[in-house]
Amino acid sequence: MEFFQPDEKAFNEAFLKKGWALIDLADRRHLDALKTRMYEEAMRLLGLKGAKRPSEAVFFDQTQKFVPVAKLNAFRLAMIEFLNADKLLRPALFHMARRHIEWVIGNEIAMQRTVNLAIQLPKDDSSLLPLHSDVWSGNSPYEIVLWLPLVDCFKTKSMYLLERPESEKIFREFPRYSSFNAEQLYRKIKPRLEWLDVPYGKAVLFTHSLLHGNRVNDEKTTRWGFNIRLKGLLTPYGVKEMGESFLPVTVRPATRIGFEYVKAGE
Amino acid sequence: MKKGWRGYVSSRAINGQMIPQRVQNLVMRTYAEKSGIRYLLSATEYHIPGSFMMLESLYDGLAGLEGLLFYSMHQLPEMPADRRRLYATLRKAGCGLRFALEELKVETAADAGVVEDALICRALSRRADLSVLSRR
Repeated sequence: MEFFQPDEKAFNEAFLKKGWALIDLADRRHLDALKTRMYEEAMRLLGLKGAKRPSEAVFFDQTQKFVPVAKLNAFRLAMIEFLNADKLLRPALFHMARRHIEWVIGNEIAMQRTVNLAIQLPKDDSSLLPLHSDVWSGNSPYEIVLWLPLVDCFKTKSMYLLERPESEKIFREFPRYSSFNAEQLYRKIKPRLEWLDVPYGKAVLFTHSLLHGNRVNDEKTTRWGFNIRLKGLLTPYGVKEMGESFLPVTVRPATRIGFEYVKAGE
Repeated sequence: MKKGWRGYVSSRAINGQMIPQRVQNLVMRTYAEKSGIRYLLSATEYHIPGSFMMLESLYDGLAGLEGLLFYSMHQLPEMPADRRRLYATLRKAGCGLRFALEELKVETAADAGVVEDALICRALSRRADLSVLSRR
């Protein structure tokens, strides 16, 4: 007797094996609209008007021409504040990937409260994320990450990860590497890394227990992308706690009745 | 005339952790500055387990306050009935409730529902066992 639908079963088997999956977004028009709103806000923040104002496509690809490295983080934080002030952002991102999120997690879900935005200019080494596993710094291994780029991501403009069997091999042999720094460990595992090729309109779901990171973007264009964590509502939490970092997004009636019953019993 | 937001810190463990009161006050002061609210000197809950004597005392002075600013939502009373009474008392007095660490505020019944859901989910989901290496 099989409870999963064939497409769901195939997806989940592949996810279990590799620890990540490339997915198609449900409705790209939402992403297009969001990107245009971000472009308008960026133009306002940077004071780009009239003839100085680039097209949307040029701005996202060639951000390095409009935002100097020294001002990149302040610009990024201002964009994050703008994005997270919009109460519809999290629901929009969730709905674009909902089908696959629910396949991987289940349909009672907690979602990180703040959507993160990464901007990686070509040749910029100021915003790198060295090789790491989020679980090593106390995050719950029950979390998955939705990594959703706003541009085509490939080669060093993208992120890399070490798929599940290889990552787990490193975990098992960790004492051998415990004196390494992140760069030494990166060099050791470099031949086995998977660089993610993610065209605009697609996204990646991955368990952040995998070893992953990024390098200096040696391509000619800038990387823009969102990342947000999701997990089963009632699965164990790590240092990112319910309330402080996560909030429930889908609570089903049976669970709510259970909550209420506990309350009445008290 | 409402004066501002009365701080509320704890002298016992919060969500299983002892947080120095200086750190609790620092988090609340930073939150108040960021949120543009006036933060008033904190009341400190007693270390006796289950005691909410200081919180109960604050109810008497609500008429002069905009609301209560807790360091964390994990300082809320454990009993749901006590929490419901807190929300109702504050609403009746025209006061708000905020949590500095979580940057959450309770202004409506729906806001209280979010806090309740979060507390219950937190209680039901045990902390993750991160001893990954030792299990191998």
